[in-house]
Amino acid sequence: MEYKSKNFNIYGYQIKKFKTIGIRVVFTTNVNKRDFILSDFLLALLTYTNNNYHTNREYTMALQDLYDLYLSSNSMRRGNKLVSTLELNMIDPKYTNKKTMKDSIKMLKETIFNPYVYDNHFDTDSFNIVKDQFKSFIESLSDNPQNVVNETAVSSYKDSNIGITYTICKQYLEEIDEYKLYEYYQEFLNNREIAIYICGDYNDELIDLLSKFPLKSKKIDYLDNKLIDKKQEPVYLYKDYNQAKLALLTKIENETEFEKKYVSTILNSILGGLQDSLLMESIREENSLVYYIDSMFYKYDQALMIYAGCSSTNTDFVLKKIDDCIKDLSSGNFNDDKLSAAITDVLVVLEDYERSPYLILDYIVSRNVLHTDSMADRIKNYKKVTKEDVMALAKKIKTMKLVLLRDNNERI
Amino acid sequence: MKEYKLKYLDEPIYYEKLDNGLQVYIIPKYDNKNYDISLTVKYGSCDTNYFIGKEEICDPLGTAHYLEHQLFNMEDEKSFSKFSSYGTMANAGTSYFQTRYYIQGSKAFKENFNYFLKMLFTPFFTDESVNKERGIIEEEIKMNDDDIYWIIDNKVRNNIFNTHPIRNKIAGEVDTIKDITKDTLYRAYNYFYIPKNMILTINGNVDKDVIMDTLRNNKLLNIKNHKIVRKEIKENPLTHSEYGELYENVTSPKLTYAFKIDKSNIKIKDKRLVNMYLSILFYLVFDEISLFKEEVYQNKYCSRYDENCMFIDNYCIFSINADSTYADLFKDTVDKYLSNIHVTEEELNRIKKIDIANEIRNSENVNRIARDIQNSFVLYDKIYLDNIKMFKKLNIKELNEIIKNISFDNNTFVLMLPKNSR
Repeated sequence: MEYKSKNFNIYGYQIKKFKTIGIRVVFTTNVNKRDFILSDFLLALLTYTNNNYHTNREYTMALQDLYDLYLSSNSMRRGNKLVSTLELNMIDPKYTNKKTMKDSIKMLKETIFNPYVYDNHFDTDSFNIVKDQFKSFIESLSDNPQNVVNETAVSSYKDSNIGITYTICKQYLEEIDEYKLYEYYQEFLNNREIAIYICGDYNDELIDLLSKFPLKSKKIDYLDNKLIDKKQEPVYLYKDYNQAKLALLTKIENETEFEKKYVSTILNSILGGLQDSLLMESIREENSLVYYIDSMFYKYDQALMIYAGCSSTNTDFVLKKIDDCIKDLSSGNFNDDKLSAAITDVLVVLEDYERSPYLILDYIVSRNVLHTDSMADRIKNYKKVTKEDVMALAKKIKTMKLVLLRDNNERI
Repeated sequence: MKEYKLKYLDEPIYYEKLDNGLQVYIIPKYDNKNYDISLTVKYGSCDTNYFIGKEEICDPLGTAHYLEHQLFNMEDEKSFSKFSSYGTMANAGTSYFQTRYYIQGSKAFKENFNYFLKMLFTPFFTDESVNKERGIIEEEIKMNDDDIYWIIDNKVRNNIFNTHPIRNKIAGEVDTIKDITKDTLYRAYNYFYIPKNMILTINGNVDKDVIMDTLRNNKLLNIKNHKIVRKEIKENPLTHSEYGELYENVTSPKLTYAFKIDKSNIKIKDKRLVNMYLSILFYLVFDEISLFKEEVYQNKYCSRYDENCMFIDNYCIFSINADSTYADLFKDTVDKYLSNIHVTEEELNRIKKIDIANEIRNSENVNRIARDIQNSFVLYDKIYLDNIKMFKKLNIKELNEIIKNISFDNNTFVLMLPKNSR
């Protein structure tokens, strides 16, 4: 259900079965490196303190007093779009009281519009604490060797949106201070498409409270998504690890809309998503070469990444087997059961999206922001995917980049 | 079947103990489309030494985990393919004291349930299948050996404990799993996978009558129970080592400061109540609303930290992990707060309010309730469903008594530094 407020919309999904009410305030714009990292940092700071609660301790205690109100934030790239979210989850007022509901909404409002700011800058202490935490989080990404190879693969495409990662963008975090971030905050509120989404047994009073938020949605002209272009030379990394890690980034060329929306998910499932996927069967079960091997589909970037950990001495064989699996897909050399299992796998999740308020919110946000099909259409279209569709799409997979991390002793 | 009605839960929880000793808990949630089935066995990586008659058995490290892997390899088919065909997800996990198998699906409940039972109760191990699995588990061990959080955790456990088998890695070592044969697995399976040593939880959109019809008189469950005799572990209250230094592939220093707290001086007999108090105590002193948190962040003694509480036999192991370039200052601050613990009644009452809110949230997540039942079985040999009643009983007098009777003198400090800083 859509509710039109003065300057933005509210989308509601009325459902009585939950004991909580979930609300998301979603800000969307074109993705770029600076916004990618600063939006995330800004929202983290907004949910750390506000002008009524000058320390995180006070802020957290205030949330706890509201029956442990959840207030969180995140910012994610979806193709060419940057989707930044402030999320609230509160106990349904029928289990608490009306005052708690009003105070919870007030808390959300204060978090967005009344940050801890003075003299045209965010409070320096809070700013520095959250910045240090963020920097520490980004540094820790490099402590995970699989993450390192995956990120090396995507970030080598500097001009494409897939290359926008925390590590690549961290210079913007290093450059920002509490004054510039305040300027960014004002720009953030005035230059985004904004909408509020709500799921649960809400009433008109709640809608009315939200509609009074002084948000102003701006129409954004979205640029085309920048995709990966040319094949690149492999990258070989060496470090003292017990296990080698590999990441193989591929591009899926000239996808049709149906392939992009539906066939690719099924292909990814058959290749690496199912418990008995082609990769798992061939490389793990038949040859005992890996504990994990997965494929990750970048839906909006027409790309697919295959990644695994294996012994250094087996990397060439594993890569050959990966190649064989992709050939099997394109030649139809896979069991029909795999196709039906992949489709069933997707449908099981879609058909039960009402099992959690978070899944419902994901659905209604994606409908509006990413223009995904309705659940009924999705279910109908996934059922239409055929083996021939999967084979045709598999033929469009082109290897673009290999990153291989091996033990120092393997260095040539 | 017995019924337990919990506040905030739409349906009652059903319970029955079968004639063979298997405990069954059913938590219906009819407005979900899916279901979860989980079997937890009270057998984990620590259970390497036990007695069959008078003979002491000493299994190689990693046996419980290896067994968990092997059970998915059935005689005539691959179980993953069968579950996949229904769109059912199947998985398992082994920890120090338990192994848990679970499936999640939304179709063909009876078929999936029967297949799940068949997978678990018709073990089939051959030399070939055991040898094949070895390569996979070796890669899993190597993956964990490269994970800096596993590395530091491993060091901490080795420092904290002297003889307790929790010092060993769950999956074992590449060298130790070479000694695991099909006979090792059959022996461990026959010893520990007996109905009285297991608990079955089923939740979601399920029909309890279908479940019980499937279970009662099921020939697969016609297993004779016996007494399980684990080798007694005599663990010294002192830590094995007070300090450790590691050089690993990290970008910045990390630390863990862990405490081995002997609970034997605490007069309260109810173990669960004691554990609840201790968890709350450390939450209040170190977690979200603590003055400790304010101090370490304001002074930049760390950029991030978290803490954890684990209960092993008569010990509470409390650990605090941090990303910190000022390890000494961070450690001194922890010591300062531990040497001067002061909890108010207001703080305790706030926690009670939060816990009640969590109970309301958990009632939407019946998986969480199932998990609590499984953990309760493993930790206490008893199931508790009355968390709200327990929260309401908590009082400041008892908490203060506990604080007086615990010591933080037995501890270990482990520092992980970047390799290039050596």
